[in-house]
Amino acid sequence: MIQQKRRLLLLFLAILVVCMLLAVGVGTITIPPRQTVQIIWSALSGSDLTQFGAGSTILLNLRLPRVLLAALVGAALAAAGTAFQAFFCNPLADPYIVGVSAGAALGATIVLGFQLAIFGSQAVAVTVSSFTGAVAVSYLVYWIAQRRAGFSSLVLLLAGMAVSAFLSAVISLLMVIKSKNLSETVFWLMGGLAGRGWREVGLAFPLVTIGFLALWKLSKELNLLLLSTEEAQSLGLDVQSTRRKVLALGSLLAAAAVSVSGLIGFVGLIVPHLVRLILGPDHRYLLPGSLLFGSILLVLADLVARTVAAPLELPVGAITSLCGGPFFLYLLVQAKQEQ
Amino acid sequence: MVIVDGAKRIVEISKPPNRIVSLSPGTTEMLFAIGAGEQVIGATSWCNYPEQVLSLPKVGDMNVNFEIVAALLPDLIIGDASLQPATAERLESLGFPVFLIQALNITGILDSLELLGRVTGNLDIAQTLVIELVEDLRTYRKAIASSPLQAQPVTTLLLFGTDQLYSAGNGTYLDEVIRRAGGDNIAAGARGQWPQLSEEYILARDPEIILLTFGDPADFLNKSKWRQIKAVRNNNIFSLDPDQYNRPTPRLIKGIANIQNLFLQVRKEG
Amino acid sequence: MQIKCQDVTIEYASVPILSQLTFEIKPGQFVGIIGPNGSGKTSLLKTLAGLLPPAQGGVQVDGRPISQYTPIELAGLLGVVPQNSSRVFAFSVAEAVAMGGYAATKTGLHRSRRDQEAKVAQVLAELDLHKLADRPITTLSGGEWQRVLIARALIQEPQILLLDEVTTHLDIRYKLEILEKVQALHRDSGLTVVAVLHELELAAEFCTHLMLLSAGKIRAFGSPAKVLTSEIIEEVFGVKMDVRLDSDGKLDLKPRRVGIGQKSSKSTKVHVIGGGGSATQLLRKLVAAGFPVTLGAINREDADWEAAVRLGLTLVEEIPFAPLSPRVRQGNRRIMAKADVIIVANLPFGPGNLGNLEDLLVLVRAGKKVILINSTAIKDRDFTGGQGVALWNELVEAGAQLVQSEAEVLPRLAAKE
Repeated sequence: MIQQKRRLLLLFLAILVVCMLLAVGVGTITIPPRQTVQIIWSALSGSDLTQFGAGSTILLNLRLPRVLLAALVGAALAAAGTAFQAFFCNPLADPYIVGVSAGAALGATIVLGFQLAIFGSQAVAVTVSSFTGAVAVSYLVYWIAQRRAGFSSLVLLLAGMAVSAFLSAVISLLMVIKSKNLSETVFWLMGGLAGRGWREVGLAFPLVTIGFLALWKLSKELNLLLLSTEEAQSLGLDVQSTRRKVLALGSLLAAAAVSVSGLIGFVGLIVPHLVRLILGPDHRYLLPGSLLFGSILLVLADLVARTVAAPLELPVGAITSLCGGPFFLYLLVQAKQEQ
Repeated sequence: MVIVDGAKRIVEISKPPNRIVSLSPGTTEMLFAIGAGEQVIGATSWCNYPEQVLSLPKVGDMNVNFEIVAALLPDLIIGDASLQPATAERLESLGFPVFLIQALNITGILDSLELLGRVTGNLDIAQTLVIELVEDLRTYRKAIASSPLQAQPVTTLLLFGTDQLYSAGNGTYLDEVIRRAGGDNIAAGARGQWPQLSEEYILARDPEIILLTFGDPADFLNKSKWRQIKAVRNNNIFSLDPDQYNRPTPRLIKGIANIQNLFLQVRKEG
Repeated sequence: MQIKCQDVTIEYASVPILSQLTFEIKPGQFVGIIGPNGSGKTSLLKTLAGLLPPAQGGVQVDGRPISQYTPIELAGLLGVVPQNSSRVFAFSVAEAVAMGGYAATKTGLHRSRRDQEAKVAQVLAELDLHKLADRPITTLSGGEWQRVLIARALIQEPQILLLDEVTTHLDIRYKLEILEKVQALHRDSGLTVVAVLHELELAAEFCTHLMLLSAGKIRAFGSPAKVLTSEIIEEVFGVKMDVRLDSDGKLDLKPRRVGIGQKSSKSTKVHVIGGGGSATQLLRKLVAAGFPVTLGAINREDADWEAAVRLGLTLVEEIPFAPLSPRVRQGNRRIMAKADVIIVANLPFGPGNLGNLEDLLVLVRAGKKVILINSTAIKDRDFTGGQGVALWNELVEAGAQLVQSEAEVLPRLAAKE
């Protein structure tokens, strides 16, 4: 059985590589596969790229970072979703559940509304500010839940909902007051990867890598979290400290994803659920499986977003929600029937 | 050439550009107006004037498709200062210089024309055009001085549609267009650049003329709540070509004449 | 490996369930914890497992306070088998059982993957689960799942196995099978076992020692023959049982009919206000003497409630641990109004059950005959900050009779009859 799971993970990896090659090869501008290979080969071997003209810029500075970022964001959201589903012991929990999205949205809205910049760059300011907002709000929610004696995930859930609702109101207010920059904020909130480049890849890569590896190392602990608190404790788990770590890592991953891509819904909710059906609930396989599947899903969704209505681009968040919404409802109905 | 653009950015241009991508309908019109049309190789899907633009490759709308821009290998990208800062940053990071203009009022339009002339190597044509437009503006002023508009400007309501009642407030080029034509823009008294006017405010100011850039004048005529407004009673509701009046271009300045004629007509009737 | 409890008091939502328990479980014992519903069996087991810290007193494992152990250390010593825990995620049986190895992988005694797998396979075979190894746990029957939970605890290689009513929801065949397995482990590998058991017959059959909990205390602790006497069983459970020692040293328990629906021979209707086991004996004596008896108002799962249910009495009940609601009190007033005599047992009063005294005062003033048992001074039983004492004194002033012991009650009733 373990052999079979390993083989499935390798299959996922192979699918991801194929999808990424496809996504790099396809776009508004058609670059023949042969030239694509030549450009990548030249870039790797360090030879002159000027002979390829616009092709090399499009491939190496537009598509490649964008596809990589899509893979990173998909991976981060799916891994964060897996972490939160274990934390809440609920297969329908979402990486934005503790207010990460609202915090990130507030950070981005402030920067866009007041036209702020860091090092003369607004894009950097949006990323930094939304990341800070996401981390700060999830910590605030945790702190509120912690204040009640006997920290419970229910209180955390409710605190997350209340803080998110409050922040949404603040965001709406800011958008009305600073209506001049409304469209930018709306586009950011819809979530997308248009215009993202190597800088965002550089920001997201270390966060996602570290966050994921730390989470993967906690696989056995995550498995035990799926039992009742008393069972987990009697099997030797320090439940409180594990939950704190899982919450911190899940929030970190979600914040990293949100800060470079805006709000992309449903990936973190659906991917772990689907992968669990294929690989089972053991986090040693579920986590890497979700990571790969999340990457595949978002790379494909972004490919659709930028090609289906070319030369126009759709926000990738709209694509994932469009597919994810009905699927989620299907899951809900299904869960109801099982009960 | 190192030049400061309309958004106060320093832009370096190594040689006169001949592969220009224009990112707003206004800049596209201006480029063609100053004789730089031949140098333009890409524009947005919203750019539709002059007609030659329609055959150019489309590089997106409000959101730029970076792949298409990159594929065109532009040597200069020209846009409006309202372009998303992140978009400008991204284009520059790909190695394409981005030059922005700021044309919030008529002076801004004239300055932008001259600036674009300088950047594209068409300064002579641009300056000739600017002198012509300044002459036009002097003509409008004279026409007001010799008419009842001088003593009694026409109270004007300009709307971008009949549902939401958005108008152009103080400091916008449309506010200036109305004033230079001899009107009194009632939205200038509201707060904000693009204020949403309340129905009560409109009834209280009782405009003599209503100018619509979108929407059907019939929507106004048929609603009982507007019946007592002078403009409605006298059937003085006119549609304006949105492409001409919603873009800061030479066409807009030429179009002041049309509005002034409407005002004079209203005064004559009154 | 021994567990020692010193003056342990266990509370649930600030209500004491067990108070001042002192006992010791020695290596190699198979201790069955028995007692009526709500007597605190499971709470005691959780305290022994380090999952429910006592409100007072201390638990020591091998001479060291249990609170000083880390969860991982404790998991290497104590294996806990919960009662039918929830299953949301579809782990395979092998995966679920392997979770028992978590603590071992975190200590220096790291098993190789192959050893771990071999160990899991061995335990699965021992518990007859090897055919189910790849089945998702969500598809198992209750009995199969309970065996998986035992297998998981065995992977821990504990020195003490703690079982919480693991047989309760199983068919009799599985009950016996599971207890036989546990007994074999106890006998063959010297495992110390502490098991909460519901059925006295099974407890007598399998355990070397029994601990009988009743009314917040240990009523008896010792060999089954010492604990399960017909007197103690009748006192605690309110049923008569014939207890016989078999030739092979096993206890044989045979319950007698409890006499539900038996006709009362006397005409004086008696209502009892009790709680916490204070009225259990009295209820039994009254029924035995042939009086029609009612009880209330009382919380479900209370020891007196249990006794009354077993005696088949009419009673007015409130949900467990809740203060008496106005509706329940109204029902109780109606029943008390019908009674000829109302007896208040020697029970403690808190804000939750003070309403009984308030309702009683109205009836006493209207001339109802009331007997108050006062074997413990009221001020030592009053936990309401003086309200209870005040009401008690008012009751006495209004004409309620005060007796110093339960023994005085029956003669007085006989006199009335």
